[in-house]
Amino acid sequence: MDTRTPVLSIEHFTKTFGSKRAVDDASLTVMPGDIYGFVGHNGAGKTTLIRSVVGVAGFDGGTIRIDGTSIAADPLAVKRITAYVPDNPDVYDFLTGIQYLDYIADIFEVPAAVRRERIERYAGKLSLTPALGDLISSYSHGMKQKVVLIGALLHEPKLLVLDEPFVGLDPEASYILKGLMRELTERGSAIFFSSHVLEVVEKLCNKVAIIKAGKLIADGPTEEVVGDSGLEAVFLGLGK
Amino acid sequence: MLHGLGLLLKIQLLGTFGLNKALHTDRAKAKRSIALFLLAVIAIGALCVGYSLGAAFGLGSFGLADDIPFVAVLVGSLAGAVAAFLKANGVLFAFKDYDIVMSLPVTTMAVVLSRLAALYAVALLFGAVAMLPAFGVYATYAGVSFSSVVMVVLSVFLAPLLPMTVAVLLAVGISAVAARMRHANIVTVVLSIAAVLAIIVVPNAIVGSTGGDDAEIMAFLAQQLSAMAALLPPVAWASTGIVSGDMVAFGLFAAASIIPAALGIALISHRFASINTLLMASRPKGSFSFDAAGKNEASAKPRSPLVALLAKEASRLVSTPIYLMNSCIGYVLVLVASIAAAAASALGMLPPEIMGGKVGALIAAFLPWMMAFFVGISSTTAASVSLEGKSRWLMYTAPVSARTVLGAKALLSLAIAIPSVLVGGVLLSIAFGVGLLSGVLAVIVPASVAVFVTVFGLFVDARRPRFDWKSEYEPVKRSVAVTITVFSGFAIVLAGVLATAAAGAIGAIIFSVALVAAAWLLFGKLSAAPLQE
Repeated sequence: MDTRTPVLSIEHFTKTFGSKRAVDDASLTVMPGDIYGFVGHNGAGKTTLIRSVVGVAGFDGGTIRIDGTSIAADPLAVKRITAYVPDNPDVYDFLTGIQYLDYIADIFEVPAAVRRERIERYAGKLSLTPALGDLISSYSHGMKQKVVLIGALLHEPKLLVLDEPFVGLDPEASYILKGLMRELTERGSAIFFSSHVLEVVEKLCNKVAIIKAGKLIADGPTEEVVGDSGLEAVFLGLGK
Repeated sequence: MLHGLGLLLKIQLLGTFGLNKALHTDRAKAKRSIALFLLAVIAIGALCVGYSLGAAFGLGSFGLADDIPFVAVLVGSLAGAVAAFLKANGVLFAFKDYDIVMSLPVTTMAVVLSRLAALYAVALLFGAVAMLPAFGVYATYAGVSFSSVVMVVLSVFLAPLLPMTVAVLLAVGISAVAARMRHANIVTVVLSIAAVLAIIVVPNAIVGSTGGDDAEIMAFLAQQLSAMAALLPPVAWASTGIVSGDMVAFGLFAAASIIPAALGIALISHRFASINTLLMASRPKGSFSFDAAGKNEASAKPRSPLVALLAKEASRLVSTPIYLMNSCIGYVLVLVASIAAAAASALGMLPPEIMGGKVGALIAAFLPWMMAFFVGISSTTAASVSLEGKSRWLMYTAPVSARTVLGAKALLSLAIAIPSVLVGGVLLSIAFGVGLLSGVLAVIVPASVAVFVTVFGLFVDARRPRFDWKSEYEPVKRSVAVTITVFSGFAIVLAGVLATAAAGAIGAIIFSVALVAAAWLLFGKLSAAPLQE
């Protein structure tokens, strides 16, 4: 039995919008080193759960713990060790790329020496360095996605949460992102991300959860959930 | 084209004040929003009607009743000019759903007309409530024929057209010039503030330079109106038409309003895509390098989260011309008025009877509230939460308390307000030679109003944010939070004036302390809850 503290522990999570129960009694555990894929149809409740995990939205029932701390009890402590990349990389487009990254580093109190080294490394890997002096308003969708990714990695989060991270990225950037995700989890962090790209989830994730109409209908190690049929077949089969 | 125009107008209307969203998410909230909106419209309308009636009766009592139509048409024209100038960008140009709208199977003319119709409707509404009461007063003085009534009604519709056309072209010109410069937003703001000051300050400076008895004022007013009539022939033609029943003169006014507007619409439609491309084009350099950035180590120096948030808020303010213009124009007016008064005093141009005596005492007592009026209608905070828009996830996920995030927004407002009232209060006190206590109050009273309006605006916007905007113009100019804050500013100044009238300096001091205490309590209540949706 794994006695380590889970990086993310969700127990009996419930979220309602008016009379509609968007997510109903969802529980899952993400351990250090996990790359945890989260799949489901449009409107199944993926983004709703993710937004509650990162503190954007509240929830009605259950508990969410990050590295053992309840987000309801100490939201600032858990935000310090979490990073979020939303499905739409909407950031302050009146700042330049480097101003935005310095702003994020200030907010997460990343020391000067470390922040410059990390910005330089990640921007270099994602081929964004020449554009860092330009206003974000001049960036393409993919470039905004990259600058948000770099910002999310600056404070070396224990939990990185991504919502559809591969949308808008070119094939090379997608490849590099997968590498960065593996590197981060090798250092003991964990990643929880939603995606509709089932092949990537199947190949990249060691664990996966499937949500349908607000209920988790399968979760666990990828090979157990997928079995011999492949994630796409499982997903389509569960949808019927 | 009419079908497309109708659909585009419907979409714009549904987006106004976020009513459609509220109707489809929370009906009770929608009802409250509609009620607040109607309340604001009624309050603005009442203010305009009062101002219009007062000005018309004033002219009538000076024996200048025949000039009432001239002034009424002039006010209707100015409404068009100000509405169009301040709102052209973000409504007509550089709106965020431009790509979607232009890809629809509708003509460019329909797109332009749907956008201009929104501007025209605002100008028309404001013009109507400002013009019609004045025309009513004119009828009681002069009596009017049927043809004059028809011309009065037509003038309400025609008056905004020409100035709107000129203002839209001017706004486009300023934006086009600024877009070619390195600090485009600053250039836009400076040129826009200069234009607004020219509209507000110059006529007041001309009229305000008079003094003395009624006969002198009447002669001066008549002279000014005749000078303006020579300067603005279309307004004079409208006035002549209404007063004398002169169809030819009114026909000239109609032609001078309709033809340039039609030509303007045709010109803008023809160049619409290229103007928008110019205004929205980005010019990335793509030449950043860490070696070059390393030479400027200050840029990488870590800041505390509060300082970083404050710097971000300041960047947003100076990068968003409509936000800067709308939230800071009151402070600019305080500074311009105080510098002008100080200069006039130093040059011996202020009438000696205002120093000392009854007039001097009145000035000493109410000078702080005159400043507070301009401060009370200015606040960067009333739109600051809504302006987070789609980027609000950054605010919600930051490991920073609500007190720090909202405190940075309040601090920016105060960093502009406090120095402005300090400089303004000191200069005005010196200019009018008021005593020490009045001088201190001239700083403390507007400062306390600034503190309250800053926190109140933040409170209302944080409680009723509007994040689903397509142009910054929407939260800055159309939001419920800004409207409530501005009217609360009016109400507070009015209450302060009454407190001062009732209890003198003690009343002003107690009122100011109460405002700061209320602001403190309000901020405590606001920042106690975590920031999340």
